[in-house]
Amino acid sequence: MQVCGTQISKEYFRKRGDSNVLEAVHPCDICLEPGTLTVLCGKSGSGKSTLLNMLSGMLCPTKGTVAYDHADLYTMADADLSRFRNRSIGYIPQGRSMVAAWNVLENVMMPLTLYRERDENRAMELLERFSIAALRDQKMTKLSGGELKRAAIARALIRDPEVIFADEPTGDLDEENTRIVFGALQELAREGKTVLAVTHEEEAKAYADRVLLMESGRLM
Amino acid sequence: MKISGIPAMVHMNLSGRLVRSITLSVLAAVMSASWFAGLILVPSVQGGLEMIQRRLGADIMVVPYAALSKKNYENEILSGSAVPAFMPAENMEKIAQIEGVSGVSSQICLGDVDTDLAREPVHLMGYDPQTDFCVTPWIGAYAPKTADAPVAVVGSRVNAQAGDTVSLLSASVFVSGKMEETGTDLDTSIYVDTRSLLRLAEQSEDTDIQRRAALAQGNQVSSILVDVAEEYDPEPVLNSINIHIKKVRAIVSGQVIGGEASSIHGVSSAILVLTMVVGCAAMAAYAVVYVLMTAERKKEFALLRAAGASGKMLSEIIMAEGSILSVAGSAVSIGIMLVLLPAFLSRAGQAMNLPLPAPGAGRCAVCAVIAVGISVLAGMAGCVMMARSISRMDAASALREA
Repeated sequence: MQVCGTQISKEYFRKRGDSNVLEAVHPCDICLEPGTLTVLCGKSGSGKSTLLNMLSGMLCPTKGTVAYDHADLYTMADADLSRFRNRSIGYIPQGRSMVAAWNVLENVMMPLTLYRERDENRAMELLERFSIAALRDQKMTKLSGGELKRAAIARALIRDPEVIFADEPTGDLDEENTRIVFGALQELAREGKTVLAVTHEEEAKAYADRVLLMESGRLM
Repeated sequence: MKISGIPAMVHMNLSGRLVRSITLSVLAAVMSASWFAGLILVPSVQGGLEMIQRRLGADIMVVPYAALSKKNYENEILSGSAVPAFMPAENMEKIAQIEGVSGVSSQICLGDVDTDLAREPVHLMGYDPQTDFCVTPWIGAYAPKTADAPVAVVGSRVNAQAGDTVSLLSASVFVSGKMEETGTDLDTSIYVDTRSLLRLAEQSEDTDIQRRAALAQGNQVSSILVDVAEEYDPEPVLNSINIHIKKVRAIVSGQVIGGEASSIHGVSSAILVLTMVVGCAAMAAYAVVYVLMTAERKKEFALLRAAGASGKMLSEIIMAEGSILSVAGSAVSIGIMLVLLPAFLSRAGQAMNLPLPAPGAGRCAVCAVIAVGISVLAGMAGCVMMARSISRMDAASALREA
């Protein structure tokens, strides 16, 4: 599935210097192609996560449109957009992004449970793929940073979505786990999925099919 | 079959965070228990006051002045204590002549005797069946059926039932009726018609009883109960009695009760205010917990949003959790309160020196529904606040927060 942002920008109304408007992302065009791992690099505060969130349907742009194969994301009603995100988009948030009260299996099956579905076999398949099957009944507090991130990837893939977004997926991981995570994202791209990863890790470029750079809210 | 969808999420959230769930349930329980106690207590206090007024039965009580000189008569009357003092029975006729008096009846008090019928001494009271309008209406269906043997009507704490034959002053007495509980000394009184009581007292070995009976034989009575005609105010009638009848003291029953009632109402109001304060404090705590919880759970709900939950779904999860916890907490606390209600009313009654009648099942049900309703509404209000806050949050930013 092709994801295209056309003249998308994000402004926040804040008191900063002489202006009340903070332009987090300046108007830009971006297209993500299927079968491609795109890595979006940039310093902290450059606007790369904001851009990712606008493309993933999590943050409505101030201006511009986001289209998934010509379907305009932000003209959809909340229920339709939510269902679309659930079916077509896998989102890997930064940090420890799991519901602490649930166990690993429950967290991985979250997107299915939301819509009254269960597929334990698929969940176990993913847990085995990311070598955390033995932890299926563990609470999230018992997992290491690397295991948490792998569980988050498994959750993002539970519906076999066509588009995957990863926001700083290796931010708090060691080298080995960084390699595992980027290796997995590259593999997903090889399977034909559209993948966008936001990172400031130089190492990520080695896995990328395409590298984009953001500076001060501008896509270079 | 395993549950799925929002019920499954709610179940996982509630069971996965047991401490949080229990805390919220306990808050709901405290809130509904407070409201329930307040709602039950105030009408019970009113009922207790009415019960004593009904029990006294007369508009005015006339007692010998000597009986009151060293007594706090208001407390004595309220507590149902009998005073074995006497005045001429002819006072009855004089009182009957006073304008506004529609009925008079006399009672004698022979004092306390130890019996096997109660832990404490029982008060021996004689009443005149011909003129009585206090004891007879009260006993209702328990009216004596035979005129041959001495018959008695006993207070609720006297260990005898209607139909029993008991030993009183070394004689056999048939119990024709048992009065309702008042929570006062009236509960340990035994009423026998005056003629039979005096005959029993003469045969008794108790010299005090014999002496008082001898006084009563000399056409003496301990109290005169006065019924005032409906169109008259008891106050002027009372003044006329106090002015025209020597060495007596007339007391308006309503005033006596009223005087005590105001202090009892004060105590009950204080209890009501206290329970309401506890209830409101629990509501405030509930609101604070929800505000804190909103901040704590922001990331959790942002994750659900990222996974495809709509704003409506998040609201449903929040509302379902809140209603389950508040209904469960309230229901458990009301159940416990219902079990503890008799003991609670008994302790409160002792503290106020007032009989607190147990409410009927209907009133309990209404109070329970109101208390649970308030608790659930407070829970829902907290949930609505949380749902509004969560639905307005910037999920993307919430996910980036640590």
